[in-house]
Amino acid sequence: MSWLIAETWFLLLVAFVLGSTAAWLLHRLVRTPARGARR
Amino acid sequence: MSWLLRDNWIGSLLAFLLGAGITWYLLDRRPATVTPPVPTADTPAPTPPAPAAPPRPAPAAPEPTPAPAARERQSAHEPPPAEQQPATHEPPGARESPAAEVPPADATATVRAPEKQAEFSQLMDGEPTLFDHIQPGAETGAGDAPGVPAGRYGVGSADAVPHQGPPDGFTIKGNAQSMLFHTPDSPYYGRTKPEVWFRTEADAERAGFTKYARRPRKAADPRE
Repeated sequence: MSWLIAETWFLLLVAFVLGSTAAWLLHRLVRTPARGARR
Repeated sequence: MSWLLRDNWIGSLLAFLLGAGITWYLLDRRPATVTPPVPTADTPAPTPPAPAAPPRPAPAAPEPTPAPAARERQSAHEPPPAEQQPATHEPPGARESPAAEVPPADATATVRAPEKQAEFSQLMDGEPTLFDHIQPGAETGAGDAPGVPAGRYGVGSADAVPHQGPPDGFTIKGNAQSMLFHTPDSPYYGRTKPEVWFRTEADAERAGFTKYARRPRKAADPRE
Protein backbone atom coordinates (compact mmCIF):
# COMPACT_ATOMS: atom_id res chain seq x y z
CA MET A 1 0.00 0.00 0.00
CA SER A 2 2.72 2.41 0.91
CA TRP A 3 4.44 1.56 -2.34
CA LEU A 4 1.30 2.54 -4.15
CA ILE A 5 1.25 5.88 -2.36
CA ALA A 6 4.88 6.47 -3.20
CA GLU A 7 4.19 5.66 -6.82
CA THR A 8 1.29 8.03 -6.88
CA TRP A 9 3.32 10.84 -5.40
CA PHE A 10 6.05 10.16 -7.87
CA LEU A 11 3.55 10.30 -10.69
CA LEU A 12 2.30 13.64 -9.44
CA LEU A 13 5.83 14.91 -9.20
CA VAL A 14 6.62 13.83 -12.73
CA ALA A 15 3.44 15.43 -13.97
CA PHE A 16 4.36 18.64 -12.21
CA VAL A 17 7.81 18.67 -13.73
CA LEU A 18 6.43 17.89 -17.15
CA GLY A 19 3.91 20.66 -16.83
CA SER A 20 6.47 23.22 -15.81
CA THR A 21 8.76 22.12 -18.62
CA ALA A 22 5.96 22.44 -21.11
CA ALA A 23 5.09 25.86 -19.80
CA TRP A 24 8.71 26.94 -19.98
CA LEU A 25 9.03 25.76 -23.55
CA LEU A 26 5.79 27.38 -24.51
CA HIS A 27 6.75 30.60 -22.81
CA ARG A 28 10.03 30.64 -24.63
CA LEU A 29 8.32 29.88 -27.89
CA VAL A 30 5.77 32.60 -27.45
CA ARG A 31 7.99 35.30 -26.11
CA THR A 32 11.15 34.92 -28.15
CA PRO A 33 9.79 35.76 -31.62
CA ALA A 34 8.06 38.78 -30.19
CA ARG A 35 11.40 39.94 -28.87
CA GLY A 36 13.11 39.41 -32.19
CA ALA A 37 10.34 41.06 -34.17
CA ARG A 38 11.33 44.53 -33.22
CA ARG A 39 9.78 47.11 -35.40
CA MET B 1 2.45 1.48 -14.72
CA SER B 2 -0.28 2.65 -17.03
CA TRP B 3 -2.95 1.61 -14.59
CA LEU B 4 -1.46 4.07 -12.16
CA LEU B 5 -1.83 6.86 -14.64
CA ARG B 6 -5.27 5.63 -15.55
CA ASP B 7 -6.39 5.68 -11.96
CA ASN B 8 -4.82 9.01 -11.13
CA TRP B 9 -5.18 10.90 -14.36
CA ILE B 10 -7.09 13.69 -12.70
CA GLY B 11 -4.41 14.18 -10.12
CA SER B 12 -1.71 13.99 -12.74
CA LEU B 13 -3.49 16.50 -14.88
CA LEU B 14 -3.88 18.80 -11.95
CA ALA B 15 -0.20 18.47 -11.09
CA PHE B 16 0.67 19.15 -14.71
CA LEU B 17 -1.49 22.23 -14.77
CA LEU B 18 -0.19 23.39 -11.44
CA GLY B 19 3.41 23.07 -12.54
CA ALA B 20 2.69 24.76 -15.81
CA GLY B 21 0.76 27.56 -14.18
CA ILE B 22 3.40 28.24 -11.55
CA THR B 23 6.17 28.21 -14.11
CA TRP B 24 4.31 30.46 -16.48
CA TYR B 25 3.47 32.83 -13.70
CA LEU B 26 7.06 33.02 -12.54
CA LEU B 27 8.39 33.46 -16.06
CA ASP B 28 5.87 36.15 -16.80
CA ARG B 29 6.40 37.96 -13.57
CA ARG B 30 10.13 38.28 -14.01
CA PRO B 31 10.15 41.11 -16.58
CA ALA B 32 7.14 42.63 -14.89
CA THR B 33 9.19 43.40 -11.80
CA VAL B 34 11.42 45.58 -13.91
CA THR B 35 8.83 47.08 -16.20
CA PRO B 36 5.51 47.61 -14.46
CA PRO B 37 3.48 48.19 -17.65
CA VAL B 38 3.87 44.57 -18.68
CA PRO B 39 1.40 43.02 -16.24
CA THR B 40 -1.14 45.74 -16.81
CA ALA B 41 -1.12 45.04 -20.50
CA ASP B 42 -0.99 41.32 -20.02
CA THR B 43 -3.39 40.50 -17.23
CA PRO B 44 -6.60 41.75 -18.88
CA ALA B 45 -5.76 39.84 -22.01
CA PRO B 46 -6.45 36.28 -20.84
CA THR B 47 -9.97 36.99 -19.64
CA PRO B 48 -11.76 37.69 -22.94
CA PRO B 49 -10.42 34.89 -25.13
CA ALA B 50 -10.55 32.20 -22.44
CA PRO B 51 -14.03 31.53 -21.16
CA ALA B 52 -13.56 28.16 -19.49
CA ALA B 53 -10.06 27.77 -18.23
CA PRO B 54 -7.86 28.30 -15.20
CA PRO B 55 -6.69 31.87 -14.66
CA ARG B 56 -3.90 31.40 -17.12
CA PRO B 57 -5.02 29.27 -20.03
CA ALA B 58 -1.78 29.14 -21.91
CA PRO B 59 0.13 26.88 -19.49
CA ALA B 60 -2.52 24.23 -19.81
CA ALA B 61 -1.32 23.70 -23.27
CA PRO B 62 1.24 21.28 -24.41
CA GLU B 63 -1.31 20.89 -27.21
CA PRO B 64 -0.71 23.17 -30.16
CA THR B 65 -4.06 24.94 -30.02
CA PRO B 66 -3.47 27.51 -27.28
CA ALA B 67 -0.07 28.43 -28.59
CA PRO B 68 -1.38 30.45 -31.54
CA ALA B 69 -3.97 31.94 -29.23
CA ALA B 70 -1.28 33.08 -26.89
CA ARG B 71 0.70 34.40 -29.79
CA GLU B 72 -2.29 36.36 -31.01
CA ARG B 73 -2.71 37.77 -27.58
CA GLN B 74 0.90 38.73 -27.62
CA SER B 75 0.70 40.51 -30.93
CA ALA B 76 -2.68 42.08 -30.28
CA HIS B 77 -2.18 43.42 -26.83
CA GLU B 78 1.37 44.07 -26.08
CA PRO B 79 3.66 45.70 -28.54
CA PRO B 80 5.26 47.71 -25.71
CA PRO B 81 6.50 44.70 -23.72
CA ALA B 82 7.95 43.27 -26.88
CA GLU B 83 10.09 46.32 -27.10
CA GLN B 84 10.84 46.53 -23.45
CA GLN B 85 11.85 42.97 -22.96
CA PRO B 86 15.15 43.16 -24.80
CA ALA B 87 16.26 45.85 -22.46
CA THR B 88 15.61 43.74 -19.41
CA HIS B 89 16.59 40.39 -20.82
CA GLU B 90 20.05 40.74 -22.16
CA PRO B 91 22.54 39.39 -19.72
CA PRO B 92 24.88 38.21 -22.52
CA GLY B 93 25.44 41.73 -23.69
CA ALA B 94 25.92 42.93 -20.17
CA ARG B 95 28.28 40.12 -19.51
CA GLU B 96 30.31 40.81 -22.59
CA SER B 97 30.82 44.47 -21.99
CA PRO B 98 33.07 44.22 -18.91
CA ALA B 99 35.06 41.50 -20.59
CA ALA B 100 35.52 43.66 -23.62
CA GLU B 101 36.41 46.59 -21.45
CA VAL B 102 39.20 44.76 -19.73
CA PRO B 103 42.34 45.94 -21.38
CA PRO B 104 44.85 43.57 -22.84
CA ALA B 105 47.40 41.86 -20.73
CA ASP B 106 50.64 43.66 -20.48
CA ALA B 107 53.92 41.97 -20.85
CA THR B 108 54.76 41.86 -17.19
CA ALA B 109 53.02 40.58 -14.15
CA THR B 110 53.20 43.85 -12.34
CA VAL B 111 50.80 45.53 -14.68
CA ARG B 112 48.65 42.44 -14.79
CA ALA B 113 47.50 42.78 -11.22
CA PRO B 114 45.31 45.84 -11.83
CA GLU B 115 43.37 44.03 -14.50
CA LYS B 116 41.38 42.14 -11.98
CA GLN B 117 39.88 45.35 -10.73
CA ALA B 118 39.53 47.09 -14.02
CA GLU B 119 35.80 47.30 -13.56
CA PHE B 120 36.23 49.04 -10.27
CA SER B 121 38.66 51.52 -11.65
CA GLN B 122 36.28 52.20 -14.47
CA LEU B 123 33.55 52.85 -11.99
CA MET B 124 35.64 55.72 -10.78
CA ASP B 125 36.01 57.21 -14.21
CA GLY B 126 34.81 60.74 -14.19
CA GLU B 127 34.92 60.99 -10.44
CA PRO B 128 37.06 63.71 -8.99
CA THR B 129 40.40 62.50 -7.84
CA LEU B 130 43.10 63.86 -5.66
CA PHE B 131 45.09 64.77 -8.74
CA ASP B 132 42.51 66.90 -10.44
CA HIS B 133 44.00 70.17 -9.34
CA ILE B 134 47.32 69.28 -10.91
CA GLN B 135 47.82 70.64 -14.36
CA PRO B 136 50.82 68.93 -15.90
CA GLY B 137 51.33 71.57 -18.52
CA ALA B 138 51.08 74.39 -16.02
CA GLU B 139 53.46 72.66 -13.67
CA THR B 140 56.11 72.37 -16.28
CA GLY B 141 55.67 75.96 -17.19
CA ALA B 142 55.88 76.99 -13.57
CA GLY B 143 59.46 75.92 -13.41
CA ASP B 144 61.52 73.25 -11.78
CA ALA B 145 60.92 72.17 -8.26
CA PRO B 146 64.05 73.32 -6.58
CA GLY B 147 64.36 70.74 -3.84
CA VAL B 148 63.85 67.64 -5.97
CA PRO B 149 66.99 65.76 -6.84
CA ALA B 150 67.11 64.12 -10.20
CA GLY B 151 66.22 60.48 -10.04
CA ARG B 152 67.98 57.56 -11.58
CA TYR B 153 66.37 58.33 -14.90
CA GLY B 154 67.86 61.78 -15.11
CA VAL B 155 66.41 65.22 -15.10
CA GLY B 156 62.65 65.29 -14.92
CA SER B 157 62.45 62.08 -12.97
CA ALA B 158 62.34 61.45 -9.27
CA ASP B 159 62.75 58.23 -7.42
CA ALA B 160 59.57 57.24 -5.69
CA VAL B 161 59.70 56.93 -1.94
CA PRO B 162 57.46 54.17 -0.61
CA HIS B 163 54.31 55.41 1.08
CA GLN B 164 54.98 58.94 0.02
CA GLY B 165 53.35 61.01 -2.58
CA PRO B 166 55.12 62.49 -5.53
CA PRO B 167 57.25 65.59 -5.39
CA ASP B 168 55.54 68.74 -6.48
CA GLY B 169 54.92 68.80 -10.18
CA PHE B 170 55.60 65.12 -10.72
CA THR B 171 52.41 63.49 -11.81
CA ILE B 172 53.45 60.68 -14.08
CA LYS B 173 54.04 57.25 -12.64
CA GLY B 174 56.66 55.04 -14.14
CA ASN B 175 56.86 51.30 -13.79
CA ALA B 176 60.45 50.22 -14.11
CA GLN B 177 59.63 46.60 -14.80
CA SER B 178 57.21 47.14 -17.63
CA MET B 179 58.92 50.35 -18.69
CA LEU B 180 55.52 51.93 -19.06
CA PHE B 181 54.41 55.21 -17.64
CA HIS B 182 50.92 56.16 -16.65
CA THR B 183 49.53 59.63 -16.87
CA PRO B 184 46.57 60.55 -14.67
CA ASP B 185 44.38 59.72 -17.64
CA SER B 186 45.40 56.09 -17.54
CA PRO B 187 42.81 53.77 -16.06
CA TYR B 188 45.54 52.16 -14.03
CA TYR B 189 46.99 55.35 -12.75
CA GLY B 190 45.55 54.95 -9.30
CA ARG B 191 46.64 51.35 -8.98
CA THR B 192 50.10 51.65 -10.34
CA LYS B 193 52.76 51.67 -7.69
CA PRO B 194 55.22 54.21 -8.93
CA GLU B 195 58.84 53.31 -8.93
CA VAL B 196 59.79 56.54 -10.52
CA TRP B 197 57.97 59.80 -10.99
CA PHE B 198 58.21 61.92 -14.08
CA ARG B 199 57.29 65.51 -14.52
CA THR B 200 56.30 65.35 -18.15
CA GLU B 201 55.67 62.71 -20.71
CA ALA B 202 58.68 63.93 -22.61
CA ASP B 203 60.85 63.26 -19.59
CA ALA B 204 59.48 59.77 -19.32
CA GLU B 205 59.97 59.05 -22.97
CA ARG B 206 63.46 60.38 -22.84
CA ALA B 207 64.15 57.93 -20.05
CA GLY B 208 63.02 55.10 -22.27
CA PHE B 209 59.53 54.64 -20.95
CA THR B 210 56.51 54.08 -23.12
CA LYS B 211 53.16 55.58 -22.50
CA TYR B 212 50.54 53.09 -21.47
CA ALA B 213 47.87 52.83 -24.13
CA ARG B 214 44.85 50.65 -24.09
CA ARG B 215 45.33 48.34 -26.99
CA PRO B 216 42.44 46.44 -28.51
CA ARG B 217 42.61 42.84 -27.52
CA LYS B 218 43.25 40.47 -30.34
CA ALA B 219 40.08 38.56 -31.12
CA ALA B 220 38.28 40.19 -28.28
CA ASP B 221 35.00 38.84 -29.53
CA PRO B 222 35.47 36.07 -32.07
CA ARG B 223 31.80 36.18 -32.99
CA GLU B 224 32.11 39.58 -34.50
